[in-house]
Amino acid sequence: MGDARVHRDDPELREFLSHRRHALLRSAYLMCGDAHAAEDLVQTTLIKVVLARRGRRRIEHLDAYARRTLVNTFIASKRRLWHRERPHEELPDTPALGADTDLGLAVRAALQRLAPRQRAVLVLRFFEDQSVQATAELLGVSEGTVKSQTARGLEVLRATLRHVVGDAVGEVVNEELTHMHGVNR
Amino acid sequence: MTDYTVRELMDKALEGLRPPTEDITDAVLAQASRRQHRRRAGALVATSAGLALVAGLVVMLPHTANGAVGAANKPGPVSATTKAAAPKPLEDPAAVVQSLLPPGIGTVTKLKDLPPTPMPPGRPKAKVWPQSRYDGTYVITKGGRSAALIIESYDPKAVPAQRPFGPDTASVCNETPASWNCAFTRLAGGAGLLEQTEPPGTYGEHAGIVNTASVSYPDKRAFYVIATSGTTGLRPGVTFGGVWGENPPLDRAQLAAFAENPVWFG
Repeated sequence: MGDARVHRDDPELREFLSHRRHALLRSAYLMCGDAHAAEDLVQTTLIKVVLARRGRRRIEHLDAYARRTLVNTFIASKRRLWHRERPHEELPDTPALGADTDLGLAVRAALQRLAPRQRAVLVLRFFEDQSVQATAELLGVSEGTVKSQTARGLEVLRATLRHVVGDAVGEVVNEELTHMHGVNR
Repeated sequence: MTDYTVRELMDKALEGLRPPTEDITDAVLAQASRRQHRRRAGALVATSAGLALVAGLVVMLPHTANGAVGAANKPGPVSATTKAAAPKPLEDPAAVVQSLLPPGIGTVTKLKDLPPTPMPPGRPKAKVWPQSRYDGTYVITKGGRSAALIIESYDPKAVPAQRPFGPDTASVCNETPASWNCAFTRLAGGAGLLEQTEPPGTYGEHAGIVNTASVSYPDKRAFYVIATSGTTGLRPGVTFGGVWGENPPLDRAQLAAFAENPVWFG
């Protein structure tokens, strides 16, 4: 516990750990689709952040570093544990139509239909409001990959959620797609 | 009918997610400290083991090279060596791995496994599954460069029971546009071989280009090996050497032959 005591003097790190956890948990939940898995992902991420902070590398922006660590840890974990990733076999084809709670379930189910990296791209782009360039930098991929992953992910969302909320979501997602293509070309 | 933006849909998906009630700051700091201590100790052990391994290989490698006879299904100069070698199982997993690699590739050291991810307070401890003695992370070092092989296997007949997995569904291979180079081959006896090459930055920030070979057998056995071009971040705080090169030390054919070797379930 010696190091823990020493690093209690790092107020920025402590404040980050205690205040940014929930924000990271929300993104993790969207990617994992499960609260326990999201908590595990966030805790692993925070430990990596602490280790990096204590290491030789100077981390200028803790939040950006944590976000990058979160998505890359998520993608890497799905990559290594490919045998656990069977999104297309276990989900209902047409989520039940009903109240907002049902819509939430349907959106989570729709997100789980996406490949891990597509999921991460959508969360970064639309939930965390990151630009194409920032998302590409965070994921270590080209901007073109981000654009194509976004387009494909949105198309899957639209097709899946049309059963739940009709064409309204389709139209909105269509607008997002049109906007994205127009802006990013 | 309400119109929703993507952001609003995601907000709907988050409904019901309760904010954390416990502050885990101290727990995270303490877990990080414990990891640091373990890795420092592990680095010392690994260094000692590496030195002992080098001494042992001086005797072992010539014997392995002389035993390289026979034919292989896969093309490539090393696959023949690897498939035919199928050496008698050795006690040290790192020595077994070393014996299946091209001669002179470097020194192989097996890293101590990372402890399971700590669970939040109040949650049961993560289950630690028994695994093959070959499972784990191996670092190859030569001339200041380093690369890694990460092995995972499953044998349904193993006692105690191992964590089941496979066959490889590799949904990532179906992404558009294709950023991964994937190939599936049906092997003799009904086994399936999936080879993948993923671009830098996908597997890990510093892993470089990564090759993977996974073999799934009809009797549910599965073997999975990843070859990375770099080792930074494998064990945070521990440096094994510079980047191996643009590509991992084993190309796809070599890695496939390595994965198909029967020694893993011997």
